[in-house]
Amino acid sequence: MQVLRRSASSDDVMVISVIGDLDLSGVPALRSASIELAADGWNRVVLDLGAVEFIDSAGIGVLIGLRRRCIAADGECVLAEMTTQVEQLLRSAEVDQLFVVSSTVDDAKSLIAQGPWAT
Amino acid sequence: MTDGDEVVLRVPAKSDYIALVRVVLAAAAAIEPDSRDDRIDDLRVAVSEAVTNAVESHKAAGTDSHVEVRCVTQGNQVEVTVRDRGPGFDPDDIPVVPDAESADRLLFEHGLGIPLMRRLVDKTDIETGDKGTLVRLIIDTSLKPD
Repeated sequence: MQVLRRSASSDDVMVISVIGDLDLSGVPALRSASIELAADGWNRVVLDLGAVEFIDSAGIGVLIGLRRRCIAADGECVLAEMTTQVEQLLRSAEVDQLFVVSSTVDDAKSLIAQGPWAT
Repeated sequence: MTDGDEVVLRVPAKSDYIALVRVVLAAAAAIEPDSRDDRIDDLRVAVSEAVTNAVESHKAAGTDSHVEVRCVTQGNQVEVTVRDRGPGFDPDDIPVVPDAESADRLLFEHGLGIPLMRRLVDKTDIETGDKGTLVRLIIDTSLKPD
């Protein structure tokens, strides 16, 4: 699995793209990225999940941790471009209400820019 | 199930092999032409959860034993068993995760695996003891999920 940091554009939102499987083998990379983001002061994050081919509860766990870190730093994390499998599993696990979701990365960035987390 | 088509995998207890197990078992379970894609997806996740628990159990026990996965199909009836040689666990001691509405919910990153297995397949049995754990997942791949 790959985790790509994009951006740091003028609106101070970090976009993280995840490529591959978010299972036990994939979560360490995203968890590390999540911890590094917090250490670097990024509290407004868009997580692009459009290239996630599979997610299970290990992956859900790291998504929960990422959002917790952003909120703890007075920010927000928005999930974008979720595949059908990701969307269905969040629902099956009854955690879909835990996340702010957007259909596209651009919409997610706008959502963050307009929200109470805007700088 | 004792009769039927059988696929047996014996994989190292390493996270890198979980995807391999998912692929093989999903393909075996989808042999029947009227199997539903959504049920195969449910089985893929449930198998992933069971094998993940097995891998983590072996890691906790410091054993390099393999994890054994067996899939038996009879038409659309699929039974998957995952056996590990870990230290077992107390099924009554699984942490209760708060509801999504609870402010504390974001504090819990773990504890979803077994509830998910139970939701996604028709029947889940867990036999566990100090010599290992056997998880049995049963699903009819032709039936629309509840």
